[in-house]
Amino acid sequence: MSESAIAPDTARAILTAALGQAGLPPAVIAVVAAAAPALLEALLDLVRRHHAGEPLPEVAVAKHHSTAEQIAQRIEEDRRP
Amino acid sequence: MTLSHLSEALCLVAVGAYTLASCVSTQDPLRVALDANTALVAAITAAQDQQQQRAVSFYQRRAALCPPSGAERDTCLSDAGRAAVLACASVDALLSMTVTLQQSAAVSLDAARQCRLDEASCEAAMLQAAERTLTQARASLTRAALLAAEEAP
Repeated sequence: MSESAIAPDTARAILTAALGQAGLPPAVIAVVAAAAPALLEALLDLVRRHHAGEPLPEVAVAKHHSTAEQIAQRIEEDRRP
Repeated sequence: MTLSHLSEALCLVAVGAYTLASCVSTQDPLRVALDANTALVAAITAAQDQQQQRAVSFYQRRAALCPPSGAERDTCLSDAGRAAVLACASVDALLSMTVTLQQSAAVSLDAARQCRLDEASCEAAMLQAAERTLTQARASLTRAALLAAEEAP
C-alpha cells in the first residue's frame, strides 16, 4: 500500500456513509464496501493523476496604461484641422 | 492523502468516475494563487480603462471651451490636457504602483511555477512571497478605486 493508505475499517466506514448519502440501495453499498480499501485507493490515485496531468495556468501580467499619453493623443487629434 | 483528495474521491464514488472533472476542485495553493492573480490583472486593467475614460472626459469638457481655431486653440488644448493629467495624478500614481506590485507578484508566481515544474523545494517560499505581494497589490487597487470615487473629476 502507498503512504496514503487508509485503514480498511475507515475506508469501509467512509464509503458506506458516502454511498448512503448518494442514495444507493443497501445491497449495492454492502458489495462496494467489501472492496472499500482497494476501491478508495484506486479513486484517490485517479484524482492524483488527474491533478498531476493538468497544466498549470500561465502567469498573467498587468501592463501600465498611461493617462498622460492618452490625453496627449487626444490633444494631437483635436489640433488637426 | 489530503482531505481534499479524500473528498474528491468520495465525490467520485457518489457520482461515477466519468464525471471526474466535476468532482475535482482546485485546492492546490499555487493554482489558487495563479487564478487570483489572473483575476487581479483583469481588475487592474478595468480600473486603468476607467481612469483613462475619466481623464479623457475631464479633458473633453475643458477642450470644449477652447476657441475653434488659431494659436490660442493650441495653447488652450494644452492647458486642458495638463489640467486633466493633474486632476487624475493621484489615482494614476496608485494604479501605477498597483501594476508594479502585480508585476512583482507575477515574477514570484512564475518562480513558484518553475519550482513546481522542476519539482524543486523552493515552491512554498516563492508562493508565500507572491501571496504577500498580491495582497499588497489588491490593497493598492482598492485605495485607487476609493480615491477615484472621492475625486471623480
